[in-house]
Amino acid sequence: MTERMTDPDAPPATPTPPSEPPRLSPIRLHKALSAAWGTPPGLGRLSAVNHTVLGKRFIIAAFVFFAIGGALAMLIRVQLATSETAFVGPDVYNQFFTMHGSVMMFLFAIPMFEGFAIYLLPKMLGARDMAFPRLTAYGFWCYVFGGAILVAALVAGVAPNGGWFMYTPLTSSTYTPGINSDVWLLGVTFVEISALTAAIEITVSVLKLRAPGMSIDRMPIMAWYLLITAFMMLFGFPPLILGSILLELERAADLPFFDPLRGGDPLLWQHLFWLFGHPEVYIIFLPAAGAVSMMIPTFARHELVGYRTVVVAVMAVAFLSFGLWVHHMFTVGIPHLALAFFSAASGLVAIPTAVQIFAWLGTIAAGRPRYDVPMLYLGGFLAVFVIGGLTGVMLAMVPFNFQAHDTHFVVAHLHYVLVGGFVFPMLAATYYWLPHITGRACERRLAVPAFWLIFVGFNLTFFLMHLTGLAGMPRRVWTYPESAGWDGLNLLSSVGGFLTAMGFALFVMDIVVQLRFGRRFRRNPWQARTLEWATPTPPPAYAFAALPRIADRADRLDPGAIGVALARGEGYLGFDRDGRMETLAVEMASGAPQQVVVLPKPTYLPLATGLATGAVVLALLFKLYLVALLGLAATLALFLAWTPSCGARADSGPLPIGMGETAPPHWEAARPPSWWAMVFTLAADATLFGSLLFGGVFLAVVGPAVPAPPIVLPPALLIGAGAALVAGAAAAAFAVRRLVAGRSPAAALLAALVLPLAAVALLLPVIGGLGDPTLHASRAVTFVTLAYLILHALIAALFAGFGLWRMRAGFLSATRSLDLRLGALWHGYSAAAGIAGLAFLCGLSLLGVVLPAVPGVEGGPP
Amino acid sequence: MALAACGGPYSALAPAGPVAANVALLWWIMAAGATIIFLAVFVALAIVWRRPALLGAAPERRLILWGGLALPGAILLLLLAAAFVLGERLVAAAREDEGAIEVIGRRWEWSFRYPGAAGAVSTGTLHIPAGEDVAFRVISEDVIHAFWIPRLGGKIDAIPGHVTRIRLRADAPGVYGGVCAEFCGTDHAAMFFRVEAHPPERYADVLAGLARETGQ
Amino acid sequence: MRTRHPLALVALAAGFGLWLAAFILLYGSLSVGCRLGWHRIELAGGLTLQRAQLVALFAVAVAASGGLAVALRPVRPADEPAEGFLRPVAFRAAVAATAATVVTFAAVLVLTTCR
Ligand code: HEM
Ligand SMILES: [Cu+2]
Ligand SMILES: [Cu+2]
Repeated sequence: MTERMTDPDAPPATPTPPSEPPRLSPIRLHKALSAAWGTPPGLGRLSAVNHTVLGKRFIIAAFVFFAIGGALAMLIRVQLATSETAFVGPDVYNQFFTMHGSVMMFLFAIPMFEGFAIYLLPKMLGARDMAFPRLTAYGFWCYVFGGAILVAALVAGVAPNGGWFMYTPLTSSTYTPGINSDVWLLGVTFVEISALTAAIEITVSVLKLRAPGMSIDRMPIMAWYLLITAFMMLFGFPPLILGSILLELERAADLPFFDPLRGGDPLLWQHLFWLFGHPEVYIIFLPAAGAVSMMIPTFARHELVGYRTVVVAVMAVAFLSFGLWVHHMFTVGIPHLALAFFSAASGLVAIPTAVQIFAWLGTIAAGRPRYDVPMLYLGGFLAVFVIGGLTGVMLAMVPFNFQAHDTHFVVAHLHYVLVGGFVFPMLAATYYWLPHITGRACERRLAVPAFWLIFVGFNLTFFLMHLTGLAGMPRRVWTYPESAGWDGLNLLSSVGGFLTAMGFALFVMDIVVQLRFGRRFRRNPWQARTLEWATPTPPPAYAFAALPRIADRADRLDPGAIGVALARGEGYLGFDRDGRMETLAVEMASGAPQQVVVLPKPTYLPLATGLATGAVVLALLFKLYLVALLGLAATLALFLAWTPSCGARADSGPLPIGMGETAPPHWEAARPPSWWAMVFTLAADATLFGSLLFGGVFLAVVGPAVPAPPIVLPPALLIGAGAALVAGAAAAAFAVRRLVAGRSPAAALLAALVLPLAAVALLLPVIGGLGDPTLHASRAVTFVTLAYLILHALIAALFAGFGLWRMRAGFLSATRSLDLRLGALWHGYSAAAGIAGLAFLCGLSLLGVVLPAVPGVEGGPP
Repeated sequence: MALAACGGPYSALAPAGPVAANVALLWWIMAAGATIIFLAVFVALAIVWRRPALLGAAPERRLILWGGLALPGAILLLLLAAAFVLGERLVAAAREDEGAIEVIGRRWEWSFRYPGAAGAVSTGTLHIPAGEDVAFRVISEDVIHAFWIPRLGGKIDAIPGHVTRIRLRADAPGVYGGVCAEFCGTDHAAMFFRVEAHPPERYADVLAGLARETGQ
Repeated sequence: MRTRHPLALVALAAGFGLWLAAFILLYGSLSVGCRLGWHRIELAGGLTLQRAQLVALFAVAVAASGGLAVALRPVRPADEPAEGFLRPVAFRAAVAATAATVVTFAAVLVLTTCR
């Protein structure tokens, strides 16, 4: 029996399950659902949370940044055309190539695939939206504002100029005293928020928000690709974010993480950067490969062969890509055996890639292939990407890498991989899915010449660049002497670059023509067999009027028939329940329907929160730390303002979902999407913390051996803080137990609020007693570790306070315990991190005593 | 056009020492292999598109097994073995500091300090004896640079706080070009240096001359 | 409603997870060994402490990965579709990871361990 704890005004829990809302005619159903799901017009557009709207916005914004990056590429090619060109000087050129690389990687490639994923994923999975629409919107604003900061810096002439991997000490305050590096560190980190939110959303949406019956072995292959990519992002981005935080701390507060004179090491930055940077390349490639795996079966008129093998191959790529980052660092003086590990892993990654390529060829062999525009672009993809892969294997060979590294050979290779592995598939995907967005069929007239211009121009530019590199031209040089003999090749590369640009201009014209004059069609113009083509085209805000029951692999469906039935409301949730935005969550493996996920309405909160976050970033950029603190408080307050519309004040029990089945609303379910989101957030957080611990050990063991001043860690305080964190986690868990047992969790919550604060009170004197953290890297690491733990304890206390607030507001009951369980997860993580962190600190100070006694320092200064 | 890359003062494909020669050979082998693999993929594409019957019934399993696993696997193992053997000579051999020339990278020039030659130092020009292995200890005074003489062999980074080592040899006396390969700021593009390989019998005189200059 | 063990999904990543663990372990102990000068401690017949510990770790990694593959081998056609999918896929991944373990780390047998 549920005990009401607060709020006597709340309506009593409904004892009998409510009946199913009435069936409507297709037209009235469409009207009702459109009213429920639509985005308001005019300025109201800024409140959009819908995945179709935001997916398109991501794609358009990413394309604008592609144009900016492309314009920079043209300027680079003008400058390098001959040895005589004195178009810009080195200071401007250095900003050009740094911004070209950064814009292309962070503002074009990643957001472009996110846009495709956000637009397509729910439709491919048979859901009405992504799991966290407001988070999508927040991510979008973070992306656009962060990108705007970077571009504004370029216009103002203070853009980052240390290359897209920002090696220290060049980017440290000693050698780059201006704000150029800060713009990169803060701006890119701001943009990465959107990558992390997208990663969490994609993971949860693929795992939970599928059509009933779509068991994990029936998912469309693109869902596998995106799921695995999203996991890679969860573990790949935190090292970069940590690195950026550390470097910004070094620049702003002089904490010497990378300063070899004070026990830091510039190589730590390289490890952190490439620990992210290499997986990043596959994070960009895999979604594109997923799109290829959707298009080839359509045009081969045969389902993808080797579905399971492809899943294994993609997983192999994902894991291997985390074990080859040092191939960007072969020449930093690492022992040959270590190089061999990374070399072998780098070569190995070619094999799962080859498996995918031959699965595509096998699909064509098994089917009856048909030529159309997307296939033309896929042919370009195959040619360019295979060359990029082959030069990649060459670069993975240590001796060859010693010659080719940091030359234009590498520039050629990376463009073959990125343009071949991402741009060509995305061009194909644009032609393939544009009809879905516009409802107009694809025309061939301009698409074909555009392809040939891009293809020929690209190869002219970059094929020759391999030779330029082997002829000894280093990358990132703003000019070169005529005597070097690089003129001819460079001029041809520049001509090729302009041909490519003309090709892209033609492509843009073509898209405009298709938008205006394309022939309208009703449904499924390519005779595809996946679910996204079962929505009306262009898709309405609610995507599906009803959710289908999937009884076969999701690339063997008949979208025409399904689409007609769904439009009639035949399926799950084929009705309007009080204007609520509902979709279904399923059991991960089997796809059995489990929960009714009620999604939030359009709201300006994501925009406001994004603006507040942007204010924090700008304040940090201009070193207004008090303003930054205020902005942070505003951001936090705004995030809390998201919550009142979540959950309910009364128990509802199972709701009818159509087809004679019922499911509870998600806040009454054991494992709703937000629970999984918290788990994945903590996984990313743990990766960040792990990277920090790795950094500490790295500096202690292989960093320059500079004698460290002693670090005083009072054991009583540490043990007390650890105990308080663990007790706080226990109290949070106990609060859940109380609530579920129908009793008041108030006292336990209060304990869960106070105990982490006690831990903070114990840790503050430790930090205070540390002494000057700028003296030595080991102190700086200790300082940051403690700060991390304090921050987590504070947030844990905040979660407990939030639980009390939700209890008072009537959102909690024995069946509605989600809020407390989320808090308990955070508490549990904070305690675990606390134990690990404090143990790490003790170990570190021990190492500081032991290691200097060992003779034979490898890699240290003489 | 391929010829353009093979000549020139900085060309890795115009080797003038054993390391560069081995790598150039490795390159030509890999380039030939890559051409064959590339063509094979497109022949396979033509076949699966036009004449899948040539592959027999149910060709997809065989395509994945041979094209995806067996062939690339075998090629990769061979390549790795060759690269490891070569790498042992290139990377692992450069161990001792005995008699090494100290290479100092600083923005935006290279200095060279010669051992045992009464404090001989040169800036912008590196003097080495031809026909014998020369060991280098590479350090940096400010940011990261990379020490590279393309015609003699691979590069090595100059990293503040670290000492890196490399071993190179010029087969014949002559002048070779050297560059800074790692981006180091404004005048990175101007951080070239000159390498003069002297006949071994004249090398001591050259260093003695340098020492006199340095002493002044 | 039946909720199956979420570990069935985690098994997909088990094989390559082991590979990654082996990677971290081998790379880490290689660096620590070089730092502590284990490559100068000769055990017997030219075998250094450094190589001995690395080869031992390599053997453990191959054995663990191979053992996992054996443990995940398909038993009999399972009736449930998801079950009949997850286990075979996890098995194939484990086999691939075992091969990857051998190729990635076999160099511990021959190459120079420290500069
Ligand atoms: C036709 C289009 C493009 C042209 C002509 C072009 C040209 C160039 C050139 C010449 C450089 C070398 C600059 C230097 O080292 O001095 C460069 C660097 C780079 N490009 Fe592109 N690019 C194009 C498209 C792309 C795309 C689509 C991407 C990514 C998706 C990309 C990513 C990069 C990156 C990451 C760098 C390295 C920047 C750095 O060294 O910091 N480029 N590009
Ligand atoms: Cu890489
Ligand atoms: Cu330089």
